[in-house]
Amino acid sequence: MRKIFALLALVAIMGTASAVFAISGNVTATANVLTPISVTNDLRQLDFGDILPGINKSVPFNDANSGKWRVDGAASREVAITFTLPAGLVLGLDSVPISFNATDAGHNQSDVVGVATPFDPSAGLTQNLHGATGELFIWLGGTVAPSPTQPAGVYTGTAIMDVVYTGL
Amino acid sequence: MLRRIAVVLLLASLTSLGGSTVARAIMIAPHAVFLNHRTRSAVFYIHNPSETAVEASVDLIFGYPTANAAGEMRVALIENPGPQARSAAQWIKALPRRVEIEPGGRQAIRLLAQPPPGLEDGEYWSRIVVQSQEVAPATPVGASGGVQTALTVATRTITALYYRKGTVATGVRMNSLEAGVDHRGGLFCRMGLSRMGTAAYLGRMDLELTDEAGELVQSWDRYLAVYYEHQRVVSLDWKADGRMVPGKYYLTARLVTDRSDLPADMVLRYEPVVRTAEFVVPATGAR
Repeated sequence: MRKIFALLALVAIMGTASAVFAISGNVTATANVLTPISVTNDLRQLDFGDILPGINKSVPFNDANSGKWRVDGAASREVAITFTLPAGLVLGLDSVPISFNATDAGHNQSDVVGVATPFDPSAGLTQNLHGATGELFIWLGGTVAPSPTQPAGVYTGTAIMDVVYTGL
Repeated sequence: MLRRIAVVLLLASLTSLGGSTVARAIMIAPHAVFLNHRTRSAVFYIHNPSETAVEASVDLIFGYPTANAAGEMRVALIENPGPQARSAAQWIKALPRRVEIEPGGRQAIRLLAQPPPGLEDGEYWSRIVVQSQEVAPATPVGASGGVQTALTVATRTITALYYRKGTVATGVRMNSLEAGVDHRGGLFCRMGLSRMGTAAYLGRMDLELTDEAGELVQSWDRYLAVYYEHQRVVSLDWKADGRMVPGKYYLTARLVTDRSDLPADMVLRYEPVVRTAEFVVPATGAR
């Protein structure tokens, strides 16, 4: 019996939202299970569009060109989200400074950016996932500041987004 | 036999999770890994339900959830913890550490512990940090000439690891509890928490709001992890149709070790801890 419960426990942590298992006809074990967190990384890239040397360009988080992600997990559970953001986008020895201000990110439990709550991407976010869908949408904007003599080319950089349940 | 069945079920579970949403990035299961000093090994799985191949790297970093200055929970990752930290990160290895997972594929990652000799009884912690990004490079955006940019965002999914040696015990102390109406017109509670024993306190907080007549107004629950000591602030949303009538209220916080999301034999029990805070909703603060 101990092994059966161990097996049930293993099944329980594997990810379905909830499950009821019946064993031996008269033993029922119920497990409310925590869904693994996942993050879509391809909903939308942060897109600064055409950039002219010497002219700063900003994309607000509620702009159609902001970056967008969806966090999926267990309904109502609290997650912490933190960003590690680059200071510049690099091409060889040249770089374009990139910055993020205190309202350059937004979050909402539904896919509606118009009523999203701003937050500072550098400070991160602690938020509950949607009570029914287990979703949380994140948007990210920013500002690039090319110099007047910025050489032409493709400047690249990497940001990191950490997602974690806070209750473990 | 039982072990084989478990693995089959785990793989089936991951497949069913990923089947409905092709756009998802990787998923890690289970979300908490327990090792003990007897077996010193465990396995977790990375699944790629997306339609593109994904590169993933696995690192073990000491870390734990704690509250920042505003009382919001964050998971602190500490690359070089001091000797007093209960870190298992430096003596547990993940194999393989780097993988490329095809669309719809999955990869088992084995964790092997080599604890130092003379390790004291107790629980030791790490975070499993799985960083992933698509194999295809970020697409440059902007004009076809001139200055173009491409910002790649890698995601790191962080899960918990616990290594237990010998007899372990946990407990929690609720040093303070305060409740009131916050600047949004919502309810908040601030609690001071500290762990006791040799293992992390993994529990749940049940919060009940009652009015002056003792009638239940609303209740909430949150999963809770206490590793050291912190001051946590919890924002509580009212029911959609709820209205706060001005007056005196009581918020009761009850901390219990009932965790249905964790294997039952891994949950360390401790007696319920209960505390009540009294507060007043002023006429101007009600909504």
